[in-house]
Amino acid sequence: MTPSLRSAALAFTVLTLSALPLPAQELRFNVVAHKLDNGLKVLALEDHSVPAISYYTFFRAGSRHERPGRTGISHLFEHMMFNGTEKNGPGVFDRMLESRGGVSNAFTTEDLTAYHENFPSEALQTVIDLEADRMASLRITEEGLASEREVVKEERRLRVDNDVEGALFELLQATAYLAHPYQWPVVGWMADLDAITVADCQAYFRAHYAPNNATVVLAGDFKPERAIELIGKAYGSIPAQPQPAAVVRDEPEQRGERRAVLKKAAQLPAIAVAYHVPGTGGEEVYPLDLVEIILGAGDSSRLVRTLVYEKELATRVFVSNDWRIDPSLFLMYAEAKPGVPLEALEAALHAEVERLGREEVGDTELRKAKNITTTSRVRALKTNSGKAEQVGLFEMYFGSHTRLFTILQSYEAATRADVMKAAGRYLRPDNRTVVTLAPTEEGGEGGR
Amino acid sequence: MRAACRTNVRCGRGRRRRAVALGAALIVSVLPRGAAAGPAAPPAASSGGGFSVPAPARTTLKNGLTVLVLERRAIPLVQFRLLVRAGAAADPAGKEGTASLMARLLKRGTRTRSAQQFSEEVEFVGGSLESFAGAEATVVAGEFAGRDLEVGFNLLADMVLSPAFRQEEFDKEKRLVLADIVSRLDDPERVAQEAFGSWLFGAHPYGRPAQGTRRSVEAIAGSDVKAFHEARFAPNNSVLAIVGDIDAAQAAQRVERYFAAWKRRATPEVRVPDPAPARGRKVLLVDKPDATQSQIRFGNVGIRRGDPGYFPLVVANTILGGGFTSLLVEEVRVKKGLTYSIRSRVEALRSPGSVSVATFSKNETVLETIRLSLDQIRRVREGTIPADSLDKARNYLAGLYPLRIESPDDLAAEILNVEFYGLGADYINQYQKRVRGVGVEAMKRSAARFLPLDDLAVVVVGPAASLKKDLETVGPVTVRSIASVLDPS
Repeated sequence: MTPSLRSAALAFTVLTLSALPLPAQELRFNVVAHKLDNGLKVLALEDHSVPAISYYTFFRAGSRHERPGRTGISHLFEHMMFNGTEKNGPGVFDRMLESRGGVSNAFTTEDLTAYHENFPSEALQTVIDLEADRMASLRITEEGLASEREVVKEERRLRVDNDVEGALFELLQATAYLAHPYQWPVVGWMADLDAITVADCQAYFRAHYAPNNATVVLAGDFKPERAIELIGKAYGSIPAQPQPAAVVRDEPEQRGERRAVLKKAAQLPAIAVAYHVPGTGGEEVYPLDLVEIILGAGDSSRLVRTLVYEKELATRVFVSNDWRIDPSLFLMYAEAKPGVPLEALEAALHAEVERLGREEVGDTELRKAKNITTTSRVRALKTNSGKAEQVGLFEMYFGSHTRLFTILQSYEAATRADVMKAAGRYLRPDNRTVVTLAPTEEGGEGGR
Repeated sequence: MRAACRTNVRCGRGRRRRAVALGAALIVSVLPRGAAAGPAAPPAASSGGGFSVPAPARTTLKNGLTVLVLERRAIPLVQFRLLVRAGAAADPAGKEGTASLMARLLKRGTRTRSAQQFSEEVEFVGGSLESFAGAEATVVAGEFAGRDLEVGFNLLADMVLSPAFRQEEFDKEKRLVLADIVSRLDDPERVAQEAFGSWLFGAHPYGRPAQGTRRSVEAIAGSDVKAFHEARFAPNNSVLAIVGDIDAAQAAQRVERYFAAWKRRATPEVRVPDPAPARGRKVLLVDKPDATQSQIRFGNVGIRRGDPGYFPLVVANTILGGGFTSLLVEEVRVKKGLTYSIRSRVEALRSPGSVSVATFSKNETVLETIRLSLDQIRRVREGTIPADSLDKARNYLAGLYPLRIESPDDLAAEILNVEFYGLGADYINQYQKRVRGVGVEAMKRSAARFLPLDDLAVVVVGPAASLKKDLETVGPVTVRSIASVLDPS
């Protein structure tokens, strides 16, 4: 183990079987932070365990920055970032990277867009040049947009139109929000995808893809001082831009349950539920994360144990306290077992959830939830790519990557009373949206 | 709490919400053992780029269990991966799905722990223990914090040595499997994958999902599952890989302590015959009247994992359909916008697996997508490809390899692959050299022989009424209902 590897290793205290409270957990590695004059933030994490580097570029640009009529532009635009610049033609980005043994990909969420490359260390200069080049001088053509639009429509058909769960969650989100941009899908409505123009993309690029709206995170086999110097040279001349217009983030308080039905060819009925909850800026995100674990993480969790195994009402359940910058949703999904009326599944689901708001969880159960949280945070850091991604996501969601190193303390601090209070405050019927899947005739070949 | 990426552009493959573990894909990309693993490898030499992985410490316990340990201290996690040399291919005829059901039941209770107690203990320390059957092996994989090593060993040994197979848990798990078989008909990608398996391989074990079919799972009794475990789960038929936060010097002793009670016994060898390749073209059209997009799969039988032609074929396949700059992606996705994802894949098992293309397109452009894809196969076979293709593919495969085995779980899985398929002790460190050593002639010969064109099994899942006529120009078409996937004949 080299000294530099040691410095990058995690100092970490793992929990034991004891149900007693433990000292605050520590999770830490060295991140060198630097800001260029044009506002580009660079976070560099040195780790020589593999002769490779992971390079992420995060932009504070997601579907929350869109407007009705142009939904899906953040994501469609993400695709356009691979289609050529003033200097490099379409496809050159991927070819230069792959011919050096690297890979690239990207993802778009409600809050952000991230681009990432994993590659052998010697390709660092190439990657920096490619990323700086597309931030400086992306070229958007009619032809490129026409073709990419079709690719994205195929993606929508795959993930939503021909995917039962995708369609269910799209309707859930659209029903739960009245005002906030989180109401539309990241992939966008089909008609909007057809409406987006080259001019729209150019305006989006100017507004959101400025260095002062971006954070570069790199992790792996390099010297931070040297990497930062190279990045400064390549990106330094890209001018900063005015801050994009503020997001309209109001969402009126929900007063009473909302329901919707999705009729679609399917084998089994299912239910999806959403409760309005605070975003990552709120303190209650931590007890609600623990509620997520208590309800749905593993065979011993409350919903899997009762709905899947004891009462045999569901084939599977899914629970997520989604992290978002603005007030978010606590999501649940359950598919009914063949022969089980959906009403029975729904009643049992609500009963388990509401019980959490009335009765405190036991010490052991809370300890378990905290232990699961700890190991899952560590698991996210198994690779350089994982570390770079987590550093960047924490920068986006919490305003500083250093939160990654202290977040376990916030989970540790949550008490049984905190968990009950958060569950009682948010996971209640008047704050709930329910979408049920009613299978139509042509789908039900084997279910009933 | 997962940072949500609901729409994960360019990531292509995964459906995130399906919780079902797909054993077959994960597991055993089986390699042939015995057959010479490529050109004789020269003695260990680190292969350029400073990449090398130390050989795992090997111990064989008295009972015959092979233990391979690699210490990796960068992350305070330890990965256990036990491979038992028997999977779905060893299922009794008519009771396909036995290995898979047995694997699922391992964590549903032991002689001293109820199912609930077992999962409670695993999850209390934030650990995981999963088991699943692939075609040719069953794997039990666990991950624990290094500090909880003893807890992990204890639970792993308990589920492997002393599963209870209580009738009540068996009945429940069987009902869940049957429900999942029905539920998966809503996943067009999975339907296409399974239909392609049976359309190409027929009754051969590679042609059926490890989970079994509705009819075969209904035929399984609790005693079958127990019998499978008794006959196949033996230390001398297994390999345990341990990677991560563990002292290699002490690991074997610890394993001895927990696994010494496992009794050696004779286990029948699983023999998988070579599957018969498709001759000519045949198209299966699985009718999904409501679909606005059709899933497309086509391919034929390729080679076994230990075949000396493996690396040339992997390189040829990368030129055709690997990464974001392959001919398929370039022509079908980038230039024409016909799909969001297209890739080709070599599945090399102990016997020859498939070489296949997977994609999808809106119903109106299914035929165009198939034709354009076949054109690309023709180009690779005939060698009319861009001059830099071979170099790019070799660099891509070699450069990515260290990243593919970066995490302790991926590394443990690769160590088991090397062991299971008999790839040679220095396989991992020789990988880059082998890829870089593939010459243009070897690549071309391999492409001409194994990238399928005239002999082809094709599966399309979409609305038959509007697709049938088009597809008849590809080959003779058989139409089946989607329900037929539940019980393929």
